[in-house]
Amino acid sequence: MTTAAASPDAPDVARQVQSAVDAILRRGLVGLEYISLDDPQVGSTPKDTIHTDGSMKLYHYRAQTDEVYRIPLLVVTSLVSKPYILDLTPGQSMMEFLVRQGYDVYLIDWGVPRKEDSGLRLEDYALRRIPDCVERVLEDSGEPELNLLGYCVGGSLALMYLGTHPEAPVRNMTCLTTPVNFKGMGLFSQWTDERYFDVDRIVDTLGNVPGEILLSAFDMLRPTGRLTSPIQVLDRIRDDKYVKSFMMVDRWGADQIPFPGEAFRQMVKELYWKNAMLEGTLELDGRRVDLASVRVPMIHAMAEHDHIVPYEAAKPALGLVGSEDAEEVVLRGGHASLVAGGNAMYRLWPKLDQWLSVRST
Amino acid sequence: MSANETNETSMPDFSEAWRQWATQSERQWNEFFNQMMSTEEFSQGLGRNLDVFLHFQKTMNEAMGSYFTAMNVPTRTDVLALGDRLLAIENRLATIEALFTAAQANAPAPDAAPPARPKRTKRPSPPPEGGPAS
Repeated sequence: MTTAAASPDAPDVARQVQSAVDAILRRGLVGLEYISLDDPQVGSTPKDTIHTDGSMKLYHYRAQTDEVYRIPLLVVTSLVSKPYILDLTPGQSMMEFLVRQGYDVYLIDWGVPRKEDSGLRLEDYALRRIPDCVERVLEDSGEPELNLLGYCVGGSLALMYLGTHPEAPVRNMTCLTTPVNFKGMGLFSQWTDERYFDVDRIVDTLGNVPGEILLSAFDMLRPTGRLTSPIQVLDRIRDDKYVKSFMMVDRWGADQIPFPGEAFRQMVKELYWKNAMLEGTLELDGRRVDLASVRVPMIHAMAEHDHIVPYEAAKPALGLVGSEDAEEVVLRGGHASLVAGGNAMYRLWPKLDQWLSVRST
Repeated sequence: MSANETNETSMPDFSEAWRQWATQSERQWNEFFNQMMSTEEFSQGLGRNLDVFLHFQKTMNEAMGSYFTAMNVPTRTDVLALGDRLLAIENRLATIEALFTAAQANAPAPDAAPPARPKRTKRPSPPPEGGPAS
């Protein structure tokens, strides 16, 4: 009889269910702490501001080791989002990891664009602000050269700088999910179709492109995301580490900043419409961005499930530069989780350390 | 009999089945929407909506701007611009204040050495046995 066979185990099953519910409730409360965090601590790795230019700040992270690698590392962040994705929270911070590994780390925070920043062009970033910051880092560190690391559009800006400064005092280049082929940007490239997307009208009317518009565009890339993300969190509510990591990255994703108007106009016209970075026709202030002239060792890490900068958009970067020492790495994860997800510390960070450490002495 | 017993006493993993279904559904719905949004018609519609929004925004800005100017009242843009400038001045003051305080507190004696920084002598750790982990 099936009932007879099942009945001895019935209390066990009930106990198991009860225990699971208890665990979910008990540990769920811990997870809920992260869900209800109103003002989580972000960007808290100790640092000093050593240079400002308008809303831009150049940070120097305080050393946490007795000795550091000789060559300083300058991180160029994206224009699209706030830079604290790289310094999310203690224990989940790429900056904290690098500092603890003994790197002398500097970071360019472009700041939240104000109305007066709407006139900033790509030239202002690649030909003026990055070279200024490079000078400041060399001056502050006392070294004649540095390593560059660019995340997302920050990598594109760093490549524009290198492509216009063959004499740049840069020893190595690290790109993280850096787009160079803007025809490979999936839906973004469709939506900015030259025939229907009036970028001039947007910039002329609004100045900077509001964060809300950008956030809506990012949300539209994964239309079900707003619905399924909370379900995923509830499903793994017992995993405190996952919940914390997810909520922090999610908060960062929603903390969208405006995009400087003129730079947006240029990006759409030159990069999306003409694909000028890939075609080698991009000119900044009359200077051609010659990526073939970039010969420094370079690594490019990309995310397997990056829906913001798909593989097709990032992959050609290594083929465009003239570096002989070039390495491509494709790791599991998405655009943000690659650098800040719960598994970044097991995937990207050790790989970066392995590659950079031997090139930083 | 024993096979029946095993089937009937073991708990089916509903949560795993549900998880798989949810993942699958999400992927399918995303694919469906993405396909829909990658059509030329969608781009065209998006552009048209954006135009309407911008036209509305521009008209509103102009109308409100004229109204406030006529009333001799600063517009939102004027107030925001003023706020931005104040913020910039505050930031500059804060920077100057911080520098001034730091300079006062840490004013070195004329012959004092600059604050010690870690030596730039770090070498990479040797790879573990069997080569570097990847």
